[in-house]
Amino acid sequence: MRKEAKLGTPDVGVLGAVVVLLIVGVVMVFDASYAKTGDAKWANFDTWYMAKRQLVYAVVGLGAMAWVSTFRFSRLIKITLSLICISIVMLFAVMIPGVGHTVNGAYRWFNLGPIRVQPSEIAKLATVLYLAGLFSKRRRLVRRISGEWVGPVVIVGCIAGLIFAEPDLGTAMTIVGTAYIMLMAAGAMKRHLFGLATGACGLIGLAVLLEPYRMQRVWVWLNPWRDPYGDGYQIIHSLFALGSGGVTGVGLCLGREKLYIPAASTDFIFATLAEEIGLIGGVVLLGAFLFLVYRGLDIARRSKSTYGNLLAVGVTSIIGLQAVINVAVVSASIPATGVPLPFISYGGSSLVSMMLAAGILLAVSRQINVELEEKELYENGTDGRRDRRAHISGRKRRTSPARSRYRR
Amino acid sequence: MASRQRGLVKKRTTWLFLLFSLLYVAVAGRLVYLQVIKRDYYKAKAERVRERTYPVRATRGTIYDRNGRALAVNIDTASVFANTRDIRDISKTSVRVAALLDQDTNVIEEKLNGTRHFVWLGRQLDARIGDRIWNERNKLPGVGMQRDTKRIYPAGALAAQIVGFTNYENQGAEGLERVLNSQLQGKNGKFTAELDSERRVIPETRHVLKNAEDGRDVYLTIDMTIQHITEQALAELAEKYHPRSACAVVMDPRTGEILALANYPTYDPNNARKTKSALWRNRAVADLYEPGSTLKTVTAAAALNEGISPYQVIAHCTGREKIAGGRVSCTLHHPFQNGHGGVDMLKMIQQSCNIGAAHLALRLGAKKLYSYEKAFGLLDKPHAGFGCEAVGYMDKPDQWRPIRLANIGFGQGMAVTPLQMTGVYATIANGGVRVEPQIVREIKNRDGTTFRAFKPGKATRVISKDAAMSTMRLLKSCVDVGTGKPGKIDGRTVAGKTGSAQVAKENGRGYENGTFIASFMGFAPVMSPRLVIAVVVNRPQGSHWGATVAAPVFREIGEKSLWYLKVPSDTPSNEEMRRQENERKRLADRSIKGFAG
Ligand SMILES: [Zn+2]
Repeated sequence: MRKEAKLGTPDVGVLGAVVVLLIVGVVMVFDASYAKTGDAKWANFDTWYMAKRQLVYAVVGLGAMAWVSTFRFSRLIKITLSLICISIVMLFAVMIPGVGHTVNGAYRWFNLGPIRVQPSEIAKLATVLYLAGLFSKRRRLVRRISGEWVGPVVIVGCIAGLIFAEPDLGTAMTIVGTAYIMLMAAGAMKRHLFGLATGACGLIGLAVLLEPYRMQRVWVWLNPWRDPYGDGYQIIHSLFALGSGGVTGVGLCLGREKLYIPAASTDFIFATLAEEIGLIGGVVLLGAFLFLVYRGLDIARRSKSTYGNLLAVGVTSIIGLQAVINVAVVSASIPATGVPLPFISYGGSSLVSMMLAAGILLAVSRQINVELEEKELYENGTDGRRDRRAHISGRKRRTSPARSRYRR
Repeated sequence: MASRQRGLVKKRTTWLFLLFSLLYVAVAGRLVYLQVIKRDYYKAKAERVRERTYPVRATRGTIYDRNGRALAVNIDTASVFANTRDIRDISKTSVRVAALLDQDTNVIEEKLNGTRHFVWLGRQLDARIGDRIWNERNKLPGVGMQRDTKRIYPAGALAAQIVGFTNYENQGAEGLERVLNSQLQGKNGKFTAELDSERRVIPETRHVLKNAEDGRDVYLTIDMTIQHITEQALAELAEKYHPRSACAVVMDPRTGEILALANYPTYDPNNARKTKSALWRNRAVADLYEPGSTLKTVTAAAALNEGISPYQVIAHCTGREKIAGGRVSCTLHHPFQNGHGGVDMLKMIQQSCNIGAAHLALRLGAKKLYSYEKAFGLLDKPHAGFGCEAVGYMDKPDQWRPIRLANIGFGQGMAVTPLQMTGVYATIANGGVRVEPQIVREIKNRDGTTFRAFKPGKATRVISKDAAMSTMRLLKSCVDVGTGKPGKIDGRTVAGKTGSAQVAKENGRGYENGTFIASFMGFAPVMSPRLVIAVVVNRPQGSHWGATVAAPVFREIGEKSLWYLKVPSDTPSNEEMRRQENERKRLADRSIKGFAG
């Protein structure tokens, strides 16, 4: 065991972007919610109901981010396995009626006293940690298709599938997309990547064709006016919000469509933002997210360890994908799926998990110069087969036929 | 190996950033498309969805009687509706709404489960129920409340057929509410407002485009007190004789103003929708009947105007006679069991001699009689303002066979309305000048200025003043010494005529057996008539004589109304006569005593 290196300074760009987004988030949450909560008994007619809570979540999230940013790689590797297990168990449990809390027919939450926990949020981070560990530990795994893919594919497929079944298509998409991007970053063959993408498209097409309600979603996406008071309602008013906003927006707090959009302060908060501060505001926000992506990928690029690289790519993808999916949904560019806008949308689970992701990114940025020995990875293996894998000879024996076949 | 791996990772990371940039630029491009190119399209559409134009409701005008007492007013109400699509839990909602509206839960649930998206749960309810719904609105998604006004009729059934009632939309449905709807309803204004997601108006966005013009107030010629007296008299009559229907009209002969117009049976316009629609009919104005003997007045007035003396014997009545191929008979009372004997016009009116009237009609001739019927307004549609006036019916005189002419002389074989007959007696009371009857006295703007005042209708002379005076004398003698005695009012000079007409069969062939229309028409005081009163009783039971059934009603209305109008008595009352008699006796006794002493 090596002596642990001192942690470096966290990336100022990431930190700054996150804090700015958080502030924008609290403001927008208030803006999008005050009219509704001020008129609602469940909110005690308090116009600040959601903004106050979002502020608390933000503070808690900042604490969590600061805490996680002190985690060393070894510690992250150590908790990966348990996180994966917890995720899968919780994802199963949330489906059990009576245990999971259902909203609009979707089993997505646990009620833990006053807090609602969304297991899919934990699962996202767990997947990134798991794949980062896996790909960096067995680099050659990604270069060829073998029986060893079965384990990871089952695990990731299980997580994504369970989330998909909740149903939470948006989060499932984020996870699958992130896994794909990490595969790409890990150096998978281009033809494998291409094949995977083609296969995924086919699967999506099949899923849409098989389930009538998904077909319905697509139809509504293509023409929300088919069902203006049902499925198309939210998207229509979202389009109205964007259109009404124009380039400069109607002015903060002056938006109207937030009264119509049911998820105005959560998944569709971008609509309110775009209505009130216009295209300029929307593009600046997208720019902020892209900046965050840039910083995240830059950390990945500069990271001396493959593990750090993959981890940074993974959490960056989660944030970056989720943001772009959210805006795409709000602007009716893709069918409605329901993903929160990172750092902005109202909701404790989502906010805290995004802050944890940012924390992981900061942790990587502080360990850019750490060169992780493979040995370390073996000792903190993630799939419980440490003993067998500890034999270098064994590993070599298993990989050599592959290489020979590759060279043939 | 490691450096190759690092190189690959660096390359891939750069590619990834490009990929992300591409995604972001694509989405940003979509935003540009929506927010710049399609901006106007979506903005306009959004406004169309958000903004609604609503009417600023005009207040419906009030209907008053001639003295400013209200017959129809507005009260604030609330109507409760549901947008069933917005209701989350139908059974819960219906239980709650049913409790608030005090209705049956199942009825509400049935409405909510219906196929229509918009249903009324209760209309024109107490405004307080609306307040309760409003207070509970957060617990009742999909249920809404709309404030409006409702028409109520504080006088209840009083003048119900005249005033009529409105429908749920506050539009006149019957009576003057319907006829004068355009005056009463006013003009709704317009305002636009944005709606929130619950389709509620956001108050700050209210923008009035046009103010409402409130409806005008209508003042009727009706005097509520006289109307009440009249309806009371009809109700008492109904208790005694159980007629199928009855009506009475009270008119000021000088102006044609209708002071009271009552129909029995009646209804309460506050609950009009729960009553039979037959009750809504203003029979006094819209129903035709054969006037019978009361029409002899027209025959007599025509003859008098033609210069025939009232004391010239026109027929010799033996009770029945074959005239012009038909049979005419008289109703004979003591002391005329063997016919009325030699009949002049005075006796014809006094004793209601049909044979005399028939001969008089034959003597006048069809054309002449017809022209008088027309001049008295029996063949023209009255324009009294009810909107439902019927026109009297009579064949053209060149189609009359002689027996028809004889029959028309005493009021059979033709049909008129009670209102038209009232007009005939008013013409005579007015010295031979006919004044169009009217029901609306004035229409006033909401600010109190007069919009339209109804001057007395156009006056046309029908018969000469002398002829009218002579007719009046005939009618007076009918009440003083003839068949009209029960119509005599104590302390008043009264002119009047009874009528007991057979009811024509619906198929127009002959008359129903044993059913009569009993009537009495007249005016008082004779020298300067203030009131013309017509009472028509359809199919009374127990008696069918106008004198027995209708005359007491006439007396009742006349006595009370004249007293109410403070019309001085113009003839000694019975009591006064008795006193004078006693005085005379006393004086006579004293003078005898004086002589004796
Ligand atoms: Zn006779």
